[in-house]
Formats: sequence, structure tokens, C-alpha cells
Amino acid sequence: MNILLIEINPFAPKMTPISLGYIAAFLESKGFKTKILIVGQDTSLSRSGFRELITGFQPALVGLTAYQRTMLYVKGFANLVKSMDNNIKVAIGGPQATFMPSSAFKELEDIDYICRSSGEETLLRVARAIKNRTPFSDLAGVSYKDDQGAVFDTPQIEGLTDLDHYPSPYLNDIFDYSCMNEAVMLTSRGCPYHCIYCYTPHAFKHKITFHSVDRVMEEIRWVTQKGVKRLWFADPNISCKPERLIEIFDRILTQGIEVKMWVQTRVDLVTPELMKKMKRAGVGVIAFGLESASDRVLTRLGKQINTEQVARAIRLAQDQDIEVELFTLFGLPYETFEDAVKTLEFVKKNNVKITGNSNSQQMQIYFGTHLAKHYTDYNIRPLSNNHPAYMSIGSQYETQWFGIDELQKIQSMWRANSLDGGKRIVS
Amino acid sequence: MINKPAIQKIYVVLSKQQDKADFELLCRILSGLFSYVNLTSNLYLVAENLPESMPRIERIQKDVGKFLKSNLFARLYLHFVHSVSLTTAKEIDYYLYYYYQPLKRAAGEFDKEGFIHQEVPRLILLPVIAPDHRVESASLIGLLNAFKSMFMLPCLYLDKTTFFLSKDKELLTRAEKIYFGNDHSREPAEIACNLFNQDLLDQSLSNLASKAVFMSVPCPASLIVSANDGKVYCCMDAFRKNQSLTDIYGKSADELMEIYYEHNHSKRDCLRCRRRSAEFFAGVPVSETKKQYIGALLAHFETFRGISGR
Repeated sequence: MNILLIEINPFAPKMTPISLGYIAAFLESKGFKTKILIVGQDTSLSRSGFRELITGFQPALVGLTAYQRTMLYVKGFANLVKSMDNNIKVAIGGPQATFMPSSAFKELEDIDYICRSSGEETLLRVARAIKNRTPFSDLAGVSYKDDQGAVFDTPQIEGLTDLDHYPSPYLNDIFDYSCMNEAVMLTSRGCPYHCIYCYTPHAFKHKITFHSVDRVMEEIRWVTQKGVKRLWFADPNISCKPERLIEIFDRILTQGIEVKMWVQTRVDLVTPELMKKMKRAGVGVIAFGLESASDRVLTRLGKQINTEQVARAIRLAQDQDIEVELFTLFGLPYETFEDAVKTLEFVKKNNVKITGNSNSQQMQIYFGTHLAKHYTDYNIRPLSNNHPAYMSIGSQYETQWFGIDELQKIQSMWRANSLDGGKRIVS
Repeated sequence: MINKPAIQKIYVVLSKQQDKADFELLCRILSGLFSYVNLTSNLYLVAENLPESMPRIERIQKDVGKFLKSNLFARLYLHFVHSVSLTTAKEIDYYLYYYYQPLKRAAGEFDKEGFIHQEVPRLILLPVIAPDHRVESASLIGLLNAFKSMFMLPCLYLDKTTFFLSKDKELLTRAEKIYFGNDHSREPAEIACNLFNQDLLDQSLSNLASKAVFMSVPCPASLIVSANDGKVYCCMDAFRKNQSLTDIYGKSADELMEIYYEHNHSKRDCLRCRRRSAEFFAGVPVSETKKQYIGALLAHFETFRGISGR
């Protein structure tokens, strides 16, 4: 049975969807044939070309990654698939789907399944059900709409705690790294922290799981042998276990692997020793989450850091000549316009270039976050109550302290200070 | 995975007078071609002026809207290119009221859809104005401001008679893009060529900067349709040399695209075309920085010519 997995982001250049890579590797190991279609800004794809792909590959299941900003496109592809062959089942997964209310099915006519648990196991169950011609039997980790339009929610499934049990998308050649300069790596999943605006800790139940160092090294060796020169680590906090990271860097050094790296972590998870090791191993850029330069706001966000720690971490990196990127947000709960200006000033004062990921953006209120459930407690007012059930509040809100005009004003100030016009790479 | 390139740009060179049946046929073909355009694509409607072409522009925009409504994965930038002879504030108001506002209103549902989905609308209107040489900067700034307030992205097309406007920094900051033509011609065909050349130049400059793409790669997959005689061209070089691929008569869009894909694009001298586009812009009043980039690009072409002997 064939399964087509689609990653859509028409607003940015193509990036390797490593999560889909994992799902594909897992499904392939269970006997399914998969294909991944990446639709980015630079993809050449027409309606007719997509039809040709479906006709040629004949998938029984199409899985689409759903993000808040791509929901229209997800609906569009689902509709085209169904218009070609109504027997093809369509599933959505990813950040927007995990906590999407089941009532959204009413407005998602062409979607059969909303995947909510670990992608590999959830989609495997769906695939097996379809293969057995009982597409709605023995499912878990999904909500589904049966052929009569009735909606059902199934129990959640836990993902594996030892990530090494998942087949490697790198070692199984899910992507052709011989024609890539950069590889997206994922050595851990989840986040144990409690930032109220973030989806990840809730999706992973505040747990973090890891690949072994052996597995990570095998994958790094594999992709670099294929010609990859840069590694982009998608782990939310790469140094959550500092000793593990140091071991990875030590092995990169002893094995003579020459590669440039981009990593992201928390400011309270770096030390001078770690930073020195990072530099020696090839880390060129490190990204930290600052969010706000107001300690009062940071406390309210549950971020458990302060601006002094951020400034220290920046200095540690800059002392090693590692470029720093800072993730910042505006429109945060309890944040005043003056606080937001202070954040911009903080970034400038600490000599962080306002470009790429260091361009600020308005906080988004996504499904599943603490804020999405409790926004009224934070005096956040949605601008509209008419959005479709598959869309969360997102950026359409104002706070007691931050009105629409001020949101636009601070956005313009960031743009005016930006070196690249304000385009952020990581969402 | 997908071998046939999706069409990135379609240029429709509108004629002054158009037979009704021929125009219906053109619309039918265009609607069929939308299935072959890229998920994000550009449609240029190049007219002599708006008063004469307005009904046809409205009709084509309606067809675009119909396609986008039933294909939620598609986005389209609609550029309507035309000369405007307005010079006074009163004339500007007239244009806004009778031409631009109706076009914008017709795209309103996509603005609403974009707002609901917290994204940029899938249909973006870009008026490309070729202003009259008698126009005052202040009047033009007023028009561009009005466009921006209506969420339209205005562009300017300046030729030798209006190069002086490129010195007005206030005006330039209000335009999304400034196109240049280095003669006096206001013929739609000529303007279409110049728009294409400038986009090609920008792409060559970006290729040079990224060093990732060979300069000899063909231009983005395009179609040029001449409304006057129904002829279809596979690129602007072919259009300029009147080497049509086919015409719209007696065939469907699918058949037309079959011919397009059968046509061996590589037989064209794409490198030469890129070089010519750079040479063309060496003489227009672009910024000093851009002139330097163009100089670097020309030097690159010279080096390549030395190596390849072409």
C-alpha cells in the first residue's frame, strides 16, 4: 500500500521535513511504500502536476502536516485528492492537528483523520486499518469521521521512550543527502519546561526523549559522508543533557568530522566549558529564547530565566565568536509597549544582529498551549469569534496592555531595525 | 518527483480592439491554463490603458477568482499594467473610483479569507502604472498612497520620458517595484518585454549572489499570449522574434500545454537572453548599488563567454 506524505509551506524555501522523514522510515519498515512531497516557496508544482503524481503513485492514504498558517492549503490539497479519488483517505497531523477540536471536522469536509499522538504509531494504525479495508477499526491516537460523517475520538498512544527504536530517516535514505548542503537533525523530542505560550511541552507531556549518542554519531557520519556541510539541529533544547552533548561534540572532534552547526537551547543550559566545546566542534550559530527583556513578563510566561542570564549566555557565545540569534515575541501577556521597546533595545545593546531568526514576531496563541486554554485569565481579548474551528486565536488578539495600534507600531520598529526586512527562518 | 515544470508567469498582451468571440476563446484557454500554473504564480495583463481594457481585465480577474475559489492551494499575483494619463488630483480620484476600487472590490472575498486564516490573501492585485510625463510627483504619491490603503501593491513603469521620477525618493519608497523601459514606447508588447527582462535580470542577480544556480538555466517557465492574433509564445525571446509556439484557435488548454512541453526549450540561447537583459539595464537610472551588481553580472557573462566561446 502506498502512502503520500505532504509538507506545505508556500511562504518559505523548502526545508527537509524531518518529522515526516521519521514517519516514512517507520512505515517503510512495516512494509508500506511512502513518498514525501515538500511544497515550499521554490517548489514547481501545478494542479495538473499534482494530479499526475497522485495518478502515478496511487496512494491509499495521504498525510498532510498542518500548521496554523497553512490550513487553507491543507484543505486545498485534501480537496484535490478527494476530487480525484474519493476512496483515498486523508489524514492531517502536526502542531495544528494535535489539539485541534474535533468539531473542526465540520469545516474539514475532505479530512478523514486528525492525528493527535506520536506520528509513527498513529499513522501506522491508520495505514493498517486502511490496508485491512476496515479504515475506522482498531485506531488509536486519532479522531476520525466515518463514512456517515459521525465523529469519534480514540484513546491516545504513547510514543516510544527510546528514540533509537524508530528507524532512522537518514540511514534509510528517506531523503537524498547527496544533493544537500544542509541536514536537519533531530536528536531528541519534547521539552520538560512550562512556558505558557509554547505547544511543545504539552504535546510531549513535559517529557523529553533522546537518541543515543551512538545513533546520533552514526547519522552525522552518514550525512557528512554524503557531502552535507551544515547540520541544523531542530531539538528545542539541544543541551538539556549537557554531558550527552559534550560527548557528541567530543566524538565529532576525535573522528575529524568537519561540519558547521546551528543549535538552539536555553540560556540556563550553557556553561563556558560547553560553549568552548561547541566552538571547537563547529557550532557557528546558537539561538536562545529571550522572548522579552522584561523580567516581570518573563516570570509571568513561566520561562524560568531572567535577562541577566540571557546577557551572560550571549557573552559566553560571543566570547567564543559564536554568532547569537535571539527568539523574541511581542504582544505577550502583561507586556506593555515600553516593555516591548525594551526587548528591541536589549537585542541591539547585546550586539545581536536583527536578521533571520532574531527578527521578532507577535506571539501566536496556538491550540494546546496553556494560553489557548486560559487566555481570559491573562486579559487577552480575541479580535474575532468567527474564525473556523480549525484555526486557533493565533495573532488575532489584543491584550489589556497592548492594543492593535501598538502591535503594529512595535512590528514596524522591529522592521525598521531589521537588516533583512524582517524575515524569520524558524517559525 | 514531478518532471514537468509548472508555469510561473503568464503574460497576456491585450489589444486595443478585441473580437468578442476571440476574447471568449482566450478566456476559456486561460482558465484551462490555470491548472498548469505554479501554486504561486503571476499573471500580467498588459494593456494600453484602463478605460478601454477595463471590461476585459474585469472578466479575466473574475476567472482567476473562480479558479482560486475552487483550488485553495493556489495563490496568484495579478499585475495589471497600463499607461495612465492622469495629472491632477481630480483625475486620480476618477481612476480610483471607476477602475481600481471595482477591481479591488472583486478581490474582497480573498482579503476576508486571508484575514480569517491569518495569512496574506491568495489573490494580490498589483497595478503597474506607466505614468504620463506631465504628471506631478505629488499626484502620483497620492495615487500610490491610495493603493496602499486599499491593500494593493503599486508598481511603476518608467520610460525615457518619465525617468526623472526615479529621482523622487518619496515616490520610490511607496512603490513595490520600479520597472524601466529604455525608450519612449508605450506599446503593450514592448512594455511586456521590458517587465519580463527586468524580472529576468533580478533573477540572474540573485543567481549570481547565491552562486548555487548556473547562469545558463532557462528563465522561469512562462507563457506569453498575444490577444491580438491569439499566438502563444514559450518565452519572451520567442515573442520578441515572433516565433510562436502555437495559437489558441481550435485547441484546448491541455493540447496547448502538450505542445509547450514537447517544445525543446533548451534550443533557445538562454544565457544570451540573460546577458542581453543585463546590458539593457546598464543604461537606465537604477540605484548605484544595483548598477554595481549589474556590472558584476556583465563581468561574469564576459568571463563565461571567454571560457565557453559563446
